[in-house]
Amino acid sequence: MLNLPEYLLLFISYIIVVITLFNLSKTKPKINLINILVVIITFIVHFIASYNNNGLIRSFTILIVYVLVVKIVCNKDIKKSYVISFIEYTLIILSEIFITLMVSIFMNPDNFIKLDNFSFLKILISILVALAPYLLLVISKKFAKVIDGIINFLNKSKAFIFISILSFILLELYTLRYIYKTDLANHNMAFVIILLIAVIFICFLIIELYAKKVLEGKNEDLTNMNLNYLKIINTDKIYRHNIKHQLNAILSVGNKKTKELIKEYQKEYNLEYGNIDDISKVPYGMQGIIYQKVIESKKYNLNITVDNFIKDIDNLETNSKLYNIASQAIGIMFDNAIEAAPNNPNSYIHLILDECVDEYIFKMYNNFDKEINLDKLGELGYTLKEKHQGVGLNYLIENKQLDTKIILKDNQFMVCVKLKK
Amino acid sequence: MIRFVIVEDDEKHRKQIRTIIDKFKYKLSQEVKTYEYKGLNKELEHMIKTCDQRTVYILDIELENSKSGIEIASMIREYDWDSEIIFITNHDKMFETAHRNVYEVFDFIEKYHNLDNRLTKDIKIIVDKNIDKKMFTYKGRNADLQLYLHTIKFIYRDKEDRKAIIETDTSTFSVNLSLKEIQQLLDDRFKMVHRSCIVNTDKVVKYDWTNYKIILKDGTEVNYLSKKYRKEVEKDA
Repeated sequence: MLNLPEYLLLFISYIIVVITLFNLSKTKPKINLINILVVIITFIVHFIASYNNNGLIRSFTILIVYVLVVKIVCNKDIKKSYVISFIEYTLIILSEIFITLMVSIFMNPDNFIKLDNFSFLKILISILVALAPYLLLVISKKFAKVIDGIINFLNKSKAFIFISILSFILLELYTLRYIYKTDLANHNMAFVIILLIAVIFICFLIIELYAKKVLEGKNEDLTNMNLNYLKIINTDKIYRHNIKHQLNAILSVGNKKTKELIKEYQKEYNLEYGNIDDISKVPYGMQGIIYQKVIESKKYNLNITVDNFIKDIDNLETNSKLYNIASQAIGIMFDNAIEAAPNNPNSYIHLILDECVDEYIFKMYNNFDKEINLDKLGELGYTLKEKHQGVGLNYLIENKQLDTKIILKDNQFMVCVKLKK
Repeated sequence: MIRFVIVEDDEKHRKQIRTIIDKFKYKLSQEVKTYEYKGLNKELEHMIKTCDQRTVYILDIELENSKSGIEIASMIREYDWDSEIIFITNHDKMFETAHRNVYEVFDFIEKYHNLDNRLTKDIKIIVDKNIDKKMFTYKGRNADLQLYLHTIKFIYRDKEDRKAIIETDTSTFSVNLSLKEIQQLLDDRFKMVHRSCIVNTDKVVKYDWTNYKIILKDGTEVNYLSKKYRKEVEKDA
């Protein structure tokens, strides 16, 4: 039975683990009643589990406790919570092996065996075990960067959760404690199990690296496509700029008829060019949609600006289901805004990407110069665009995964789309 | 009372803006209170959410260790469209155009170029101007309409579509309301001039009772004028 100082020390060692989880999930600790309760309850469960003799139950319970802390207190999605918890648990195991090894080297073997009877010393060692990964992450930026890279890589993997749980089970079926307690014959079994785990992980790595290569190839195509669109737009910009100046030069020396003709050409070719450089703030995969729509519309006076207030855009980009819905919604919003915005230098299209605790919020603002029927707006088939079917806005309104609101204020059109995280 | 809220992380600029406002305090008949913040904090958030008095927000766009001026403006407009916002910025014209319209920003002033004169001029205009933020609102099936009354020119009934058409300075909207229902949502400046038309009398230059048309300040001719309503129209002219 432990005494009060020992319980306190155990709690401190658990708090160090929680702080490390915060560090890995790149979250600032928020001290409120719910978070305090979660930490206390999970500490109690962690404490009970750590004294369980069954290695499998102990490890799984501790892992689940970490996942709960990351999910509830750090407010991450379930997959990322699992990845972070798995990494932290692995770091703790490695830290424990290393520190136990160091202690065993420097201590007298007899005293090392008797260590089991000194719970206070054991608890101090457990504090060191918890502290080691945290100190390493804080002191070594390179180490922290490598761990971040591993977390991002595993978070994007589709098979990681299954592979890691399977390996976990196999490894725990044969922990070091079993090696100590059973006879030599089972060491062959140990070797087979460890070999099996190694083979599974190697296969997993090969599959993931291949999938990554394929994705990189697709990304490269996307990047090239975006660059080509930019080249088209910039070439057109330069071309218009030059034509404008050449026409102005002719205007200054031409006779009356020539001047009239030049002025007509200037109106017809719409020689002012808007600015869409702000699109770089939009997630990369969505940029292509915007470039494509600007070129299709031939509206070169458009000014497109973006405010991106989403702090952790990775969360959106790595969740493919959410990302697809978001891309679709933003694509439709841009389509409508580009069509509706007048083709003059006073036009504007402004996109705001924002988020709150449980939703992503996308707001599109644009001015317009067409007549609008308030009661038909958003209905299937109603459109102000020639040769279009009036489907886009209706899709946003009818889609149950989205919460869509439309407000018209004087000559400003605002569409607000909310998407649950 | 008028309240000035300065949100600027640079102490030197904050003092500069404060000095400009203080010069005005003694010229005004109404009470002036000034609040200064380095960035968004709980006190400022509470002030924005309660929005119980006329306020002029002077916001720096880039703020250290805080949400940006744009995010603060976005928060202000969630609760309050009556207050004025002035941005202190180094951004370009395109940035200005979009944000001016989206957040109804009164002005963008360059930090290092003529800040004193521009801000003084802006404060004078804000303090002297009559705030007319009265709105006409309508909830359509899928969209809401919000129009400042001062932007509405006239409203007429389209007999073919059987809808009311609202003409503003910049746009045209059709809504499924009768003229009578619409008139109840407007104020006294709007008068019935024909059984199928209501006009904003503030925008009228001339009532042509010979040709039965109204000429507005922007040159628009409204061909809805009936002698039946002459007495009512001329009563307040």
